[in-house]
Amino acid sequence: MAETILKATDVVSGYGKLEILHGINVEVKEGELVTIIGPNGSGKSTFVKTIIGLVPCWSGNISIADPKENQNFNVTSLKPYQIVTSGIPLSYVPQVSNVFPTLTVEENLKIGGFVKRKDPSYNFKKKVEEIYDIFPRLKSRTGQSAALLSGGERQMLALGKALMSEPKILLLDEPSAALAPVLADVIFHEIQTLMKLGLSILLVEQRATRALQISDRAYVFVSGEVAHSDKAENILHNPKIGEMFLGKR
Amino acid sequence: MINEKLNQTVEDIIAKAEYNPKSQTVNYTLAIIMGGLIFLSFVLPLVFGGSTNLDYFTFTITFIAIFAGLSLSLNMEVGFLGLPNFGKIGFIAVGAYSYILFVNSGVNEILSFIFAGISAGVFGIILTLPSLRLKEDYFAIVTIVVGEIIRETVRNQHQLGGFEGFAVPLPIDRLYPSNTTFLQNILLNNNSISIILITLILIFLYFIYLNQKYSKIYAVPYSISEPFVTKGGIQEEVENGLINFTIFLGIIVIVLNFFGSFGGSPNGAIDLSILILLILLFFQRNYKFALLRKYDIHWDFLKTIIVFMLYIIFSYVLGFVFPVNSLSTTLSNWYNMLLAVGVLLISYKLIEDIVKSPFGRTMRAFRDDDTSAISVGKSLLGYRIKGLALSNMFAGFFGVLLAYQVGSITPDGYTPTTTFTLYIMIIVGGTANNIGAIFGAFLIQLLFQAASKMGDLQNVGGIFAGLRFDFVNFSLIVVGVVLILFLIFAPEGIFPEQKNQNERYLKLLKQLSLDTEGSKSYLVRILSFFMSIAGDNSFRHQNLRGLEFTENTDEKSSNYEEEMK
Amino acid sequence: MTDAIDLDEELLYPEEVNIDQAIAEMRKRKELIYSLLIISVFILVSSYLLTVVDLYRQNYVAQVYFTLVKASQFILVSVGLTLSIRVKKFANFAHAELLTVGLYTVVAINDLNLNLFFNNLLSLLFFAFIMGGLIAILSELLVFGPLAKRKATPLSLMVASIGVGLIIRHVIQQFLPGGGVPVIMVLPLPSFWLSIGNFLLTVPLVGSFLASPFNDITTFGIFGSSKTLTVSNIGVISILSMVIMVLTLQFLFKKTYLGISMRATSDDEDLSEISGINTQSITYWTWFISGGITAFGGVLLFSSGAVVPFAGFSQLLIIFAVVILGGFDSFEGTLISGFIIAGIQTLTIMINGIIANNVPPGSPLSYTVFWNPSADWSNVGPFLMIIVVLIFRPRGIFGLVDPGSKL
Repeated sequence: MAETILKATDVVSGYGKLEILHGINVEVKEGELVTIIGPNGSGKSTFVKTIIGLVPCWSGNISIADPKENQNFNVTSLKPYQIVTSGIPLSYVPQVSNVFPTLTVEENLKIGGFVKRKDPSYNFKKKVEEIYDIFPRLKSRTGQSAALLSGGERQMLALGKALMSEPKILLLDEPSAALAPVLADVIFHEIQTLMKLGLSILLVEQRATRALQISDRAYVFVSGEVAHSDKAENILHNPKIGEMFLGKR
Repeated sequence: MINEKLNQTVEDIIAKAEYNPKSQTVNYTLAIIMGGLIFLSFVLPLVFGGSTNLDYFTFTITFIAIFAGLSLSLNMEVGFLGLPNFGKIGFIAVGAYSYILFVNSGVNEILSFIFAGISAGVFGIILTLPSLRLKEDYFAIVTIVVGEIIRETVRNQHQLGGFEGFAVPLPIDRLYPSNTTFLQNILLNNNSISIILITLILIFLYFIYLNQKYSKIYAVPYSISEPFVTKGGIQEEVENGLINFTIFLGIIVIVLNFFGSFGGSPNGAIDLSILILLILLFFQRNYKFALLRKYDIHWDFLKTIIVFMLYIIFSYVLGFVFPVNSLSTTLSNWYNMLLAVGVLLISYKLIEDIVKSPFGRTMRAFRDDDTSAISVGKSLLGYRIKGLALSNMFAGFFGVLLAYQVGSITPDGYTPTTTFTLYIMIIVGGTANNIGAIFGAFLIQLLFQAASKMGDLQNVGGIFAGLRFDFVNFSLIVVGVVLILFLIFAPEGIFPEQKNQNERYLKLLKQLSLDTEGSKSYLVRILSFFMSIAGDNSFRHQNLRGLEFTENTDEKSSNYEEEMK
Repeated sequence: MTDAIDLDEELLYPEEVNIDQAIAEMRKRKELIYSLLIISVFILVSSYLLTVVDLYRQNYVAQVYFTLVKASQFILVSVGLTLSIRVKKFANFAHAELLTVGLYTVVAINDLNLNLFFNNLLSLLFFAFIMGGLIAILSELLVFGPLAKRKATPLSLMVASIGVGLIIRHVIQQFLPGGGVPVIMVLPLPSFWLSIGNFLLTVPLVGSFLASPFNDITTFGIFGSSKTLTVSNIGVISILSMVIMVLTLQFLFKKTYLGISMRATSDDEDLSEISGINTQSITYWTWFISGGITAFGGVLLFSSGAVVPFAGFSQLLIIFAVVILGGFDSFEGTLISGFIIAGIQTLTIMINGIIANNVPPGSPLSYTVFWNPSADWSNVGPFLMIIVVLIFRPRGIFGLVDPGSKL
């Protein structure tokens, strides 16, 4: 039985006075790819932002476990930079503007690795090479500013930047947003590659069918609540959900 | 069931829109705290001051009026047009300099005054050019630099007065013999028509500015106003035309009188008041302000007399409290005060009208989202040209008034600091709100004038004599702190922007809500719709009552009326 | 799960245009730098030749030196504004007041009658740096931070900065020694500084050149002309500190954690926060460096001449001219435009002087604007430059973002 890495219990949060999430329970186990699907405005992105601390968590509990070192972190009330700098193995890739446009590709990766700059066992150059092995496209662009990357490359850089801090769990907020269908396929392919590295991934996606095809489990969010959760295959073949969210008839 | 629910929501919308406390509120606490504190500082030097108190009084009011006008003009650009013009002082300078250059080259003073406004307006059109290409902050810097270039150029030019600048002769000094005293001019030299007219202006002011209930004509219960309402029709039009003609004649006569073209010694203060009155009358007739459309001038003769008496008493009190020989020197100050206040009133009415008109609505649309305004076919360039020309025309007029008040035009009187002061005024008073702009100018100028008075008193004597404290400087620190506190805690200012309500849309909604209950009211609905377009509001009310609606809705509509009061 | 997809690379990355764009941009940049180098060499050579020829009896070499000094000082006081604009995204009108803070730090320390250990040029500059930085942090802490938290628009931040400037200026006038009265700063040189100068003078050939930052005044002869070039230590120190500052900043931004984090924060604050950067402290650091450099440069800029509370404010628009010409948020731009603005200023003064001295009164030319020996056009040239630049190339020399309106 794989261990639970991310566990969110009864999470309530929102913007200003507007409550968006009304008690969410989500769990991600080690080595799992979990997808969150749901209609627009159902609180998918808000949920991910609540985990990383961009949106304050009103009540409930979010904890992240590091199975290798047997540690358990409570991230409920931490600021984003505190989560990242206190050694919690969590990385978040936002939906848009997920790279620093005026910085070069290498500097972008550098920022991803800054968290570990006090760790003596961390070898920055080796890590960069690893990232370049995963995303060979980036290597030819090392000294170029990120603003000049194409859409697909930018997503790769964002993923690479997130991987620099050696996370155990990745939160991906619509990595295929604003990409052509072909490029989206490439990104999904890359996500599968990442899974082979032993990462756990929590994926929020609009392209539900495509995401469900590659994921292990899935949650369906409807207006701030978990309406359904099951294995991805079951959801993919569930006629009712298919009709409502996946455009099947 | 659904019908009922819909009706309920429509009613909610109407209730919210008609009586929306948030959109209507004035930040009274802020206004009272600020105003109270500053007014105290205004009164202090008055109480402990020396013999120059009346000067202080007139000076303060003049400066308030001039700066209120300037901040109105700036508010039109920043608040309504969305262009942060940081070079306002440049336009003020253009107005003042073109006035004095015209006067020096022999042009009549009143013409020069008009030309000054026009040249400042034309200069505003030039400013449209960079505004089309630049974002807010860049535009701000370009304008501030334009202002500085004007100053530096004038400073280095012999032909433009150079470093020393020009002295500004006051028309009044030429018109009056130097031995006339203030009291003589106010009381002894005037004729009865002047007195009546000046009381009338006070009545107007009372109704327009103090008694807000009457300006909101729709809220006035008909039972009170009915005997005085003109019924309209051809007769009213003829009356209107006649009155307009009289007003024109009056203005021409008074302007000529005023600038000494008839010779003799006219009573400046009274003449000026008549001028203001007639101009106001003119605009009220032509722009169909609520007041004159519904009430005639002869409405309440009793009140006229009361205000007249008050005016006389006020003059006597002034005469007794302050020695006559000190007053003779303040004649031109008094004159300037009236001029400034008069021009301010006219400008306020005009700007308020511009802002409330479709033109103003388009300006605000450009401010909020220029792309979508362009997409519905409005010309950005055209609106910016018109807006900047209009607002800077006012800046030019008030620039001349400022030069009158200061007494001279020197390049170093036109530093960017003045622009910053104007910004502080509109931020404190409330951006995109004309009353707010005036109130902000009132507060800040009161503070400045009180501080400078206290600074003067240190040299003269009294309780401030021993104090080695730089009041003027300290007032600037206070203003800075107040500005930042306002920006952080009350960014909307004391008078927040009025949320405009589409009255016709509201009326339609109201009719819908009344009509959803039964189809029998269909005819009434169409009728009242057309009548509301035609502008007659009363028809609907009376006829709705005549056709016997359910008691429930009737109660509600009367509730709205009560709430509006 | 589906299998991996094999796709054509060409099909995958259709946006190759970007690379061409990047190359074109870089090439343009290179061309510009080369042409600037050529221009500066040309100016140096021609100024030397003109001085030798003795055109209009002007010392052109000295003018070039003055321009260099002035440019260095302008760059020192403007670079902080570029920095704060990059991170905070608004034009800080209170920036010039940081300069005044530096000046009055020196005045206050002078007033305390301390010994030479505290009251010498180097430590005074150091204290000015610290004080300028602290005041800048304070303004962020009390005003700009809270405003940014309330999602204030750039315009209201700008107006707030006017208020901050007002407060700093008049608090200085109210409470600091001197008040509104002009004061003269005293910048004594430490004794070891002078002895280094004396030692360096003994070096053969280049001795006086090496010793110029240490000695009050060094005079160089100009080969082929009877004129001399007089160099003051403050001038040389200004140039040197400008060079050192530029190199340090270059190192900071390219190599260090702090610098890269600063750039990241200026790019995208939320993303920096997610990436583990404490943007709050980075912002404070930015303000500290910005304010410090400005106060430091201010002391050098006003080292000769009286100091009033309005000293900084009088330089505000020149600082803006430099920053705008450079492109508002670009360091290379600020660097180059500092030289351009200083050059224009020198040129305006020089041409005015030449015309005033060579046009006889009464001739038609004498009625033009320039015939006025006492006229001061030094600011008009740079100001016109701002307007021209903003209208024809709004992004300045090296601007990253086109500041055009929404159209």
